[in-house]
Amino acid sequence: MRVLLVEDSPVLQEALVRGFSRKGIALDVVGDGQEGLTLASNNPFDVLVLDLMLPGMDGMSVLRALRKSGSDLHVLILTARDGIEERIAGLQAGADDYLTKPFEFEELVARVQALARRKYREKSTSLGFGPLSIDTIRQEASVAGESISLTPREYAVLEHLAFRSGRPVTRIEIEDSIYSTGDLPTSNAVDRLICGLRGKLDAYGVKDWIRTKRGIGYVLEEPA
Amino acid sequence: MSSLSRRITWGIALGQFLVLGVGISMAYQVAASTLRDQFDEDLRIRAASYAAFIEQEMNTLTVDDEEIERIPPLPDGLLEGIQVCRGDGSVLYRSPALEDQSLPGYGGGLDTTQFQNWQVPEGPKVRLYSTRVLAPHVESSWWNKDREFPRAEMTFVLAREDRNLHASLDLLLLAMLGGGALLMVTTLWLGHLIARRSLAPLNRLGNEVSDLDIATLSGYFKVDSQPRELVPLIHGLNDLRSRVDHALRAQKRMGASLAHEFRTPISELRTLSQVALEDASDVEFQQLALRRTEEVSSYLMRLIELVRDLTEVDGSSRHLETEPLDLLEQVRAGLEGLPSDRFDLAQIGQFQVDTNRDALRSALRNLLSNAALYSPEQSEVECETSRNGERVFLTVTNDAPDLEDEHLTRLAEPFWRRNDAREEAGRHGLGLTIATGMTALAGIDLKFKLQGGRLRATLGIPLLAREAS
Repeated sequence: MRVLLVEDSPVLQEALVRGFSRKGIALDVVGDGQEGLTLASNNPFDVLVLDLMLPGMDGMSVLRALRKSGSDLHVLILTARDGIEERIAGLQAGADDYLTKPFEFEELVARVQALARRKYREKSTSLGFGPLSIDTIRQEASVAGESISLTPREYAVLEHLAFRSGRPVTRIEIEDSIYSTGDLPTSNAVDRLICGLRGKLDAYGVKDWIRTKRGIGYVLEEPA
Repeated sequence: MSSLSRRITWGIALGQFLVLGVGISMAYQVAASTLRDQFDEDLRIRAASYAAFIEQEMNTLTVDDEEIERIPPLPDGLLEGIQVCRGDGSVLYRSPALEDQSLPGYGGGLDTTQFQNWQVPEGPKVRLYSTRVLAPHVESSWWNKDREFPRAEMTFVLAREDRNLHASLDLLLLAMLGGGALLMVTTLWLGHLIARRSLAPLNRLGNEVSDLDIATLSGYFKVDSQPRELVPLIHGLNDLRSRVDHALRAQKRMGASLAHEFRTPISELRTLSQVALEDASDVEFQQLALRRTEEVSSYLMRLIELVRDLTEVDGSSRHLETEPLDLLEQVRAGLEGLPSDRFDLAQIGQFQVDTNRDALRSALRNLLSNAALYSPEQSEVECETSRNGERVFLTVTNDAPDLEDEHLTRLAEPFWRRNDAREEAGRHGLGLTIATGMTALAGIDLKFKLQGGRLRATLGIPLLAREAS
């Protein structure tokens, strides 16, 4: 999952980058409204977390510009403004969710995940693939109730493939979803993550669920 | 009944009491005088009737009772009688009805008449008609044909009971008092009714005022169809309402802005601590979180100090200490940390001002930094001075393409921003508010003017006495 945070507080940026990273969520951060609009318009983010009072361009203008351009990016407004009129205005301008500061970090993560699930029209927080089940809230995969130890990035790859199960996903797409702009992954980083993931799934008897589509990428589907 | 309508009613009552009292008194006097005159005229005519009967008798100094008794008695059995006396006061004749009661004598001259009231001892009150006349000539007598006797002087008194006159006067007085009282009650009732009706718009206005609350404060009292006398009051109330509403809105905005300003750093602290506590093994982040916590708490302290300063200067009447200051030197000090190449100070003259150092520096610092921050990059900020009387005026002019006239009154409002975009991190939007409050306490005027897309902020600073002279 790849999230864009447009927030001008460097302290919040640092804390959220670290917190989201631990959850296996790639978080891109900008502190300027205009820059945020450019990034959101040109990159495949799953969710945009948008502050309202921003230098350069205020959050409401960013949101309106996005919707005007036809973007269906899921937007969560994260702001210190708690007035009911402001919440209504934000939602009417095209936001999908509204969270006021100060907030619980876990609630922010849960709301971001909910918006990401909505993107893939997945209402359940638990995805099942044969013996493999994925809990998108606890962010863990398990087989017959036994948890598989995955790194945050391995989980992120698995979740990304799971949301698009049955559909081939390119390496670039996976890379974009799990690495933020500041990260510099090696050219075979995705392949190595897939390799590691397959190994761990194999150990639990989940074999051949992640298949390679030559010249395209990978797909999560039931083995033939 | 409201107090005001009661006062008006009592006012009408008092006025009416005086007018009616004087009116009734005068009317009674006139009516009573007419009745008495009428009574006296009747008495005079009656006396003439008596006189006709006794005229022939007078020269003989005798009165024939039979002749007198031929005069018809008064119809209602009232006492009436005459008394005729000789010149020496001895009674020549007294009507039997008077029962030997001697009527008072007459002190007037010949052929004059006198009316007076008299109380018959153990009898009724009577009205007396008295006159003194000369008896006719005795032209002849059998014993002295040629001799002319001197004419005898006689006193004639007619007494007549005036019970009916008094009864009529009493009835008249009673009727007048009763009528007056009825008129007074009717007028009072009408007056009260009119007063209440007239005061009804005021009463309604009072109810509207008492029904006002924060939700309805922003409206206006209608002037249409209100009495002309209430219009200035309604205009005054609307003006007051507008000012209270404006103050409340400003206070509400201040409260909301303050909450907003505190929410972000608190949010930072909470997120830092929650993320740091989530993974106890991430010592590196925990160290970072602690450092950031220190920074954020310092920011919060500064914010709290600014708010405290604001509450101290806001509405304060204390006078700040002044000292002689070099204006150019203070402007240069205010430019510290700002891009000095953007400021043109060539037009600032040498002036010694007499004001509070902190207030002047705070104002200069805010005006100069705002001018640099809110004007297009590379544009020049001009500073110039001019002198008028005992003040020097320092004007800071910068390009302000996005600013509009309506923004000018809000420039010094707490946390006010031209739009929702945060122009610079770490700015609270309180600096100019505090500076404005401080300058006012230090006797410095601060005015803003928008001219051709340029903002002119002018400080009017008192000159040092020797410079001013």
